[in-house]
Amino acid sequence: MNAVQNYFQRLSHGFSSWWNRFWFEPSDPTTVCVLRILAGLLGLYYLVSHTADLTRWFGPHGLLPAGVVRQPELLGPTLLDGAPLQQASFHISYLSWISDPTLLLAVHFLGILVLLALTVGIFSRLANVLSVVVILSYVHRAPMITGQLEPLLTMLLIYLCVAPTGACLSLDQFLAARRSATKAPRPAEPRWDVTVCQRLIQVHLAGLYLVMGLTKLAGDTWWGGDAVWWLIAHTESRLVDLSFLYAAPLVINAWTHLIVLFELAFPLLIWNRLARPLLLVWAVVMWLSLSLITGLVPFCLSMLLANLAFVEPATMRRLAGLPAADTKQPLAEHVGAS
Amino acid sequence: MQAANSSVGGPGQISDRMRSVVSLVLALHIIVLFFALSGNYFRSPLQARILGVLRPYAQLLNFELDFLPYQLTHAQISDVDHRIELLPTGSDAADDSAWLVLPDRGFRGGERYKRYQRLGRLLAFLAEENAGAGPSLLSRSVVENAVHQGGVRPYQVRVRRHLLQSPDIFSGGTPEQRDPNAPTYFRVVYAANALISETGQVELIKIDETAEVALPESPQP
Repeated sequence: MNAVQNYFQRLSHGFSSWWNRFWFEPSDPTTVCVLRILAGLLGLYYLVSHTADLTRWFGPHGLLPAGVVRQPELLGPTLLDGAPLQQASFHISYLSWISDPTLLLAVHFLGILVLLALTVGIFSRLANVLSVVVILSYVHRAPMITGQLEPLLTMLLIYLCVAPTGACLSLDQFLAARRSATKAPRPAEPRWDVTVCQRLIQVHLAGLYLVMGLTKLAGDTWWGGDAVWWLIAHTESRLVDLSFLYAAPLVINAWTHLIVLFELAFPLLIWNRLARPLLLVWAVVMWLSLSLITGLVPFCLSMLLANLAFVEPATMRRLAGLPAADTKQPLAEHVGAS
Repeated sequence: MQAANSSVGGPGQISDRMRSVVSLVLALHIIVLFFALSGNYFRSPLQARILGVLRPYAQLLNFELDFLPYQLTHAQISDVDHRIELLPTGSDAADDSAWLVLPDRGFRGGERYKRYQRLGRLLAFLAEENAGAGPSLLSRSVVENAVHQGGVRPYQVRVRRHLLQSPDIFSGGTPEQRDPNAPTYFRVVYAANALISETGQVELIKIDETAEVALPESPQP
């Protein structure tokens, strides 16, 4: 009996020790600050991509009037085993109450200003929270025309709210330095909330990769090795015509299998310090090539962006041209130990 | 959660009480995330019920993926490109170039273009599922938009599916089979005649014959 008790005591102690190291060991905010800038740019792109068609989609006599969008038939999932799902919808958007074209444009440009503020890092915390509200409003205004990009973008913006993303590489930091006696920017200190933010992005992303890999295996084409061909064959979506690869079926097979292998390996091996650089480089090649054959450029770039959450702050500082921080231990060291 | 090492009070550190609260929130969030992500492709009735309960959080913050095609393709009929087409009054329906096509704008690799494709796919899906008034509601919006914003009076609206070419076509097919835009690679999934009143109000009459032709089939010709 004592052995069992001891086992559970050791298990509990070991797990809580791991949990606390994993989530709460303070880390340098450089990585999340870079993510703030890039997520801000992605959000800006997302909003700007709506600008020219704003009235066409959401205006009076638009393609998706608010009344039509609220119809239960359009707010999937609608069916489960042939029975309609009687579930409440939580697609809440301030855009649903606006149809006047002038007001719509005014609100739209305010949204762009919010994303701009997040990108340059002015009132970063507030701008981050407002950015989430803005982007979610576009997503919820017409969820049926959203794609793979939106869940990634909102995920990044929501998790970045947890961390002080204006601690470096921001106007906030620059203005704080100007107000200080030394006039020099204060080095950003390692903080636990930075770790929580970064970990949330990492865990979510790993889960998403696993879902991508497993759902691919639910179809014959990815097992059979010809899925990449069926992507190439989308003449109205692809950016480059690689149909000449019909003559090289083994290349198509290899490409297909490598995508699945990567997506299944990522959530397992990305936590290993030695495998991480390899996976991150592999990700660049995979997502860029996929963007060419699927035409899903923003989605593929957003995957690459989210992958940056796995880059160690020290590496990120080097890449961003910042001086080395006086930190205890980089976040990724703990990951590698697992 | 019991603290393994007492690290309280230092700069950037978290207090024990705060750590317990945050740990609880994190654990709950990860549970939500598990259901939201794992229920994307298939979901059991249990998963659907749990997701229904979690919906105020998961859907509001867009963690619920709602069957997004993260598999990219399974070479199913729903995975191919779709387009919405409008035939202006006085044009010849047999003349493909007379039809106005959505997407009609935007860079092919951009979100702007993809939104039109997704609308076409949704319309096709709803038409094939016989999802109540969904197809007519959407297609009426499309026609009304063309009338009021585009200055066009369409008398027909349709959704066409662009089928995919199998690799065998390239090695052994005829020149016409190798042309991805040949008529054989298009299927009409939904079509309706539009009646537009003087005030611009639109009534649609579904063309049933077209729907009968649009049976689900493999994208391979």
